[in-house]
Amino acid sequence: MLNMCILVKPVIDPDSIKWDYQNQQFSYINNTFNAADLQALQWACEYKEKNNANITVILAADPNMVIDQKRLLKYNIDKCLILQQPGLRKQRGETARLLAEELKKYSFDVILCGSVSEDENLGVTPAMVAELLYIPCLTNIFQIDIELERKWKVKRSEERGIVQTYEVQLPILIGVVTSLGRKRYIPRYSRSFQTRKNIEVHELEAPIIESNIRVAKISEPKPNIRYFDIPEDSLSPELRLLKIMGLAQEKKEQSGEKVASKVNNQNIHFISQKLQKWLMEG
Amino acid sequence: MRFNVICYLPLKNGIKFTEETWGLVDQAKALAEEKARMIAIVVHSGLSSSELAELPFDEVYHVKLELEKWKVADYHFQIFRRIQANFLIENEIFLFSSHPLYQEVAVRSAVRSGMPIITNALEVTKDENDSSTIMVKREIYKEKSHEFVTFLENKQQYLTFENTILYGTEHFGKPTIVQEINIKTVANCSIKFLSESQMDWKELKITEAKVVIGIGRGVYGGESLDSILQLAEILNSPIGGSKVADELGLIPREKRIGASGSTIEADIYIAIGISGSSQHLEGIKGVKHVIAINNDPSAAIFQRCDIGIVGDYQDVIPGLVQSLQAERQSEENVEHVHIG
Amino acid sequence: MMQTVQRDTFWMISLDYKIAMYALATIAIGVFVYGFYRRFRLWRKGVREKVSWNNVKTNFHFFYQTAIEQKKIKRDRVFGFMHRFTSYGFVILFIGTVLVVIDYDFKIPLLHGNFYLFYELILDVFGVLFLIGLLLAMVVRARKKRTRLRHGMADQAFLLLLFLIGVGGYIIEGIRLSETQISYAVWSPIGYGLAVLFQDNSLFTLESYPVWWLTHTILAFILIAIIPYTKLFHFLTAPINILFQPVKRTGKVGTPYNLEEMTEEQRYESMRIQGVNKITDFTGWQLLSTDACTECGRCDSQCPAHNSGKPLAPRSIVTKIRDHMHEDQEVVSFIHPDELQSCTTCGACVEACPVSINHIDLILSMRRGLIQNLVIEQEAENTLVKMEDQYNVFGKPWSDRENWSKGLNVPVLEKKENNKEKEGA
Repeated sequence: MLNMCILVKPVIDPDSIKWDYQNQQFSYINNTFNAADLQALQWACEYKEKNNANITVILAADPNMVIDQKRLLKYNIDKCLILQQPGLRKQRGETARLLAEELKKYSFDVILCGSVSEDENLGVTPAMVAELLYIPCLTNIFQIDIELERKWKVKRSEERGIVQTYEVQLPILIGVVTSLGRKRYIPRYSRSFQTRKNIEVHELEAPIIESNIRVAKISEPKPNIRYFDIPEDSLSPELRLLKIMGLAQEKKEQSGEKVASKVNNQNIHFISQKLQKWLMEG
Repeated sequence: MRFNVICYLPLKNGIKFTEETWGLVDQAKALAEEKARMIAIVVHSGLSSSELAELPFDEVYHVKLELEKWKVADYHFQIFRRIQANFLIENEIFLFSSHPLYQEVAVRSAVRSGMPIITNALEVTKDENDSSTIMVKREIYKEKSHEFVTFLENKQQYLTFENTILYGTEHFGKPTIVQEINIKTVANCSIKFLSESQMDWKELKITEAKVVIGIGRGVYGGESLDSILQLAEILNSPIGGSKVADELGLIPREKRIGASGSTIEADIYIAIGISGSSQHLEGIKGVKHVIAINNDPSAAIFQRCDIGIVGDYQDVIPGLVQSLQAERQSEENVEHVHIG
Repeated sequence: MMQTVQRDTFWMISLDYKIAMYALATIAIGVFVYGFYRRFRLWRKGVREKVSWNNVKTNFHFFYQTAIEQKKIKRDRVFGFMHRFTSYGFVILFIGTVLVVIDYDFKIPLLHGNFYLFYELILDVFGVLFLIGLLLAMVVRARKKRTRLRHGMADQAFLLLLFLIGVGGYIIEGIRLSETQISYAVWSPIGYGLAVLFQDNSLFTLESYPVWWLTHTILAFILIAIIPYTKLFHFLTAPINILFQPVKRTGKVGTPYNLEEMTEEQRYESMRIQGVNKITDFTGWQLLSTDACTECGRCDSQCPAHNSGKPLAPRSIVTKIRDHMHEDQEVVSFIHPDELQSCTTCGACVEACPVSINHIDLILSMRRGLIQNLVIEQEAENTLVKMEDQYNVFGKPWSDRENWSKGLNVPVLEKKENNKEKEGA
């Protein structure tokens, strides 16, 4: 029977949050949990149904943040632990230390969590927790297959449809992404009333370690400017504009040369050679 | 106060420099002050010494690692720590790419050394007053907001750049030190790299593929699409289409390309029987190379394409398929890790 | 000579036959009671549900319309006539038999004088209607005019049995009247007509009378005995269901629970919310209603899902529950989730059902059970997930709700200070 631990982060819902330009702050705040963490939890519950497992959920939160406990309890978890640390909101990146301290008291076979949280987009916590506990970690996993009880096969997706497969031995920390599975619905009054008593809230009194990073400012999304083909200064403004829009005259004139009007072997061969050349480029 | 800029260069499959690499180099150059040392750490599995000798850094330290181990972050981490031990802690900033392989290394090193790390940086600017303080722009809440973060600690700083913003062109330079370091890594039984494969074109999303085939009204008409399917098989490209193709039932809704559908970011797009209306061109505006096949010589797609052929696709595609197959067969039968 | 006008029960029936009749009667009634008890025990296994007098009171009018006026059956004209003739006939004949028992066995002299004459007339007339109705039914069935019906051997056999019983009764009446030549025989018109026919008939004589009488008796007892084991049970269960069923009828698809009246704990414990996973999770009244099913198929014929090729057949749902009641199985083992999920809860089946079975109540109870076990149709599940996340079925951010009014200068009623959701980070 495996001892699994899921790390869940309570976040402000990033889908509905908006930047209030007038007051220069966030508005439409709603508390929820990080989607990738919930996916990990869902996966763990599905694993628990097939093979026996013991699931513990650990959260680290600021006491000001309201946590929807009922939502967590709907999942078939055995134990839930909430660590309340005042000042956590400001010292981000330090949650990993709190979690690691707590995790040292237990011995888990596998720790699952989301790779990157949707609010602050740090992606630091999984690797940090793994390092503090001296266990290996793999992040950005979208598929987990169980080969043997302690040997798993995990897949990571890179860009352009490339999939990397790794074989891992437990104990390990796995960071998952939201494409791990389809989000399932758990009914409100499912028979997990008993687990209500299993949420423990630990209020930590020691002040948090000050982090070495300071958030100077939060602002509205600024444009990301990428520089591509900058038209030469010698062209007139109109021509420069046309060139940027992709409607430059020179391209039009070239069209006669680049389009073949006859279908014959020579033309087809030319196209296939070009195609291969371009394929090699990437 | 000057600090050294140390780049951990990202490679492709351990053997190739990419746009990402040069992008990181550009960022490093922007950060470095005049008297700062620019150092590169390259962990590779097959770069030539000439390539390494031409990197635009002051010092280059490189380590060779088998490809299987190269894919696992743990070995990178071991190597990085060893190299790092050689540096005196003056004032360093370590630059990484945010690809999971490198980000894991960066975070773990930062934790080990107890130094601060800022991840997923979009833009780095120097503070006007104090040139050693840098302001890092990051996106938060799914791009709904940007935050500006700065380091408080000066001794060592770790920074990972969001790899989508890393792009650049090749630079050359003459490093004063090019040193190969032999490091024996401790075998890690926990994580083993098994394989890397390309997703089948049937499962691949059109927004993620490198090559995409698009079909339009010209393809509709009762004749079979076998030749197009063969082409898709050879190129491993998903098949999308214009709005007309969706309405005619040739492709599902999610494969629609255009203003009312998806925008693709492929390198190569083959437009078959597509007229090239401006709404469709909107969907392929970022595509590098476009091939167009259409019966109608006055079709607008021919303005946009890089090469085109006027004719019936039933004549062109089979010929193309044959020609590509011949090329493939003449190449050695190496297991395709991925195309390109 | 003035004959006394009274019923001559057991005319020409020897003591042996009489004893045989009483013996058979006891056996038949015993089997009947046992059958009833068997089903009753199974209904009791369901969840207890209280039926208050108020509920029953409101049902009286409905009972009149459905069971007595038989409005729902009237929708099918031919069948309307058929069933009314048959059921009224049967009821009258049954009352007639009860009166005979009171008159003869309890020695209360009812069937005498003018009352007896009217009694004979009514019985004869309704008897004919009974037979006409049965003939109608048999002909319609034989010509396969109603595709919704099940065309099994047993269905036709029941009708035949009833028909034979009816005909048998007339035959013995005819023989009796032809032999006794009583003056008031005209008060039983059919019997009188038959009597005239039976004069000098070799088949219908005094000697063959006991045989006819015995056959009629045996057939009648067979009928009584098999009632609780077949769809004939609807004679009893349908009126009970119509009168007492606490779930309301067509149109209102409500929940069998009221969340506002329940505490948190109760909600978790409530079987009504948890839904049905095995047979005994149904209420006793729901189980009773499945026994009222006559397998007429009106629900199937009206169901839009069934008519468009979906796997749902409301009749089969009801009969499957009825047939599996004796083992306490999981519902999923004999009813596939697809069947339950194809139901659109339109209520056509409930509206069509002449015995007031509420199929929707059954299906929704089972659906609740499915959802508790996370067996949900994918589109519906996605909708529920979106509702949970963003409080709307589209999954669009709830903060976008106001977008329609942007730039239109629509005055907003909320006070900024109280609006917690708009606080800054």
